[in-house]
Amino acid sequence: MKLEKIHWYIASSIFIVILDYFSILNFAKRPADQFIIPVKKEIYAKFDVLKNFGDTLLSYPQIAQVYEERNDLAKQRENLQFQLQKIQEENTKLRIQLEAPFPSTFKFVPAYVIGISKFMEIDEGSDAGIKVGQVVVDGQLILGKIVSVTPRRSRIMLLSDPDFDMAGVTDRDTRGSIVGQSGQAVLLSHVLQKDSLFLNDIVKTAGDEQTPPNLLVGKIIYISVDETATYKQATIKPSIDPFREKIVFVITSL
Amino acid sequence: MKKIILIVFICIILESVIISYPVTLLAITLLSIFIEEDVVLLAFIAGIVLDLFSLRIVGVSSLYFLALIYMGSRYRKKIYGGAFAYRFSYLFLSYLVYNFLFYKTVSIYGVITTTIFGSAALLFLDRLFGGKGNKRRLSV
Repeated sequence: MKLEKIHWYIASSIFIVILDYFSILNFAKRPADQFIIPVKKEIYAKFDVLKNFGDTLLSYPQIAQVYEERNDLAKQRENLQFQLQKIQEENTKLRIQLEAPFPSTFKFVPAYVIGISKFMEIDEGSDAGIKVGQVVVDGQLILGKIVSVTPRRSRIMLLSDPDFDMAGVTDRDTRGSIVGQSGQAVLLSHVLQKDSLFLNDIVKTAGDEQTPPNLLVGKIIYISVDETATYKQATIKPSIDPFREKIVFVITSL
Repeated sequence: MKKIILIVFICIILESVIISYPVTLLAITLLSIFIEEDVVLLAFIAGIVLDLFSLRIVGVSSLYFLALIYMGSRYRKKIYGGAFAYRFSYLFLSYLVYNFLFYKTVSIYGVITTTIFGSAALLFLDRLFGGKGNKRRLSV
């Protein structure tokens, strides 16, 4: 390195400083900015993420703890949301059930549906006062009746079960038997030929020792008439889809 | 030389975009001792570019870098051949003045950190280049 050379550069620097001090270099700065601004912008954007990397690294144990707590809280929140949803559903159901025009002597046991195949299974049993033969409803709609009970679970025979049999009556006071058919169909059978039966007639329970009257079954969608037979029958479209039920009510006392 | 230019450019970018430490100065002071090629031109251009990137008066950083190189060359034997305290003082003062002039602050913590880092790098490079820094001297 020659000292003369460095003197030259120092002199040049001083000259440039003077030029820039009096804004003479502005004409050259403008085109330079066209390159500098995008470069700085891009790099700043990239480094923005890394700016706190050191702090992040140093506080890793706290971050890990916070992350764990966050996960726990998320789980708790999910759990609470699920519980809230359940409570809201239960609340809605109870409101509907309370508004149903049943006598005040009726006692209901709310139960969650825990399974459904041939029978519907609920999470309440004899411990809650449920007995075989009791009727299960949702609002004014009948779902079926209890066929077996354990202390904490019960099985419900649905309306569509071939073994289901219950006295029914239409809103024209035509009596018959509500029986199930394999599949989803429910029939109003053993209806006398002389009794009137029309499409869209509403079918309700007639009532017996364990079944209250006027529980809604569904409406007639098809009538099968055979003039030579003693009885006629009608196909009922149930007002309720048991596969959509989450909470049901067992009438434990009439 | 290309690698050196790249390193200096990265230092300029770092200093002008994200950190307020005199990393370009650090690079220039270290390079002025250990590279064979003419570092004066590099310091001059680096200063100009740094000023453009940092929106300073163009030429002031060049002037400072060149002044430091000049001082370092004049007192090379004392700084690099003498006690460690000289080296430390040289770096400390250069960073302190730089901070005061360009960052308008006297952050002792920052200056000490940079000085320690600079001294450590100097020792490391001195070992790496086998004391080349002590032999080279600006001819007058």
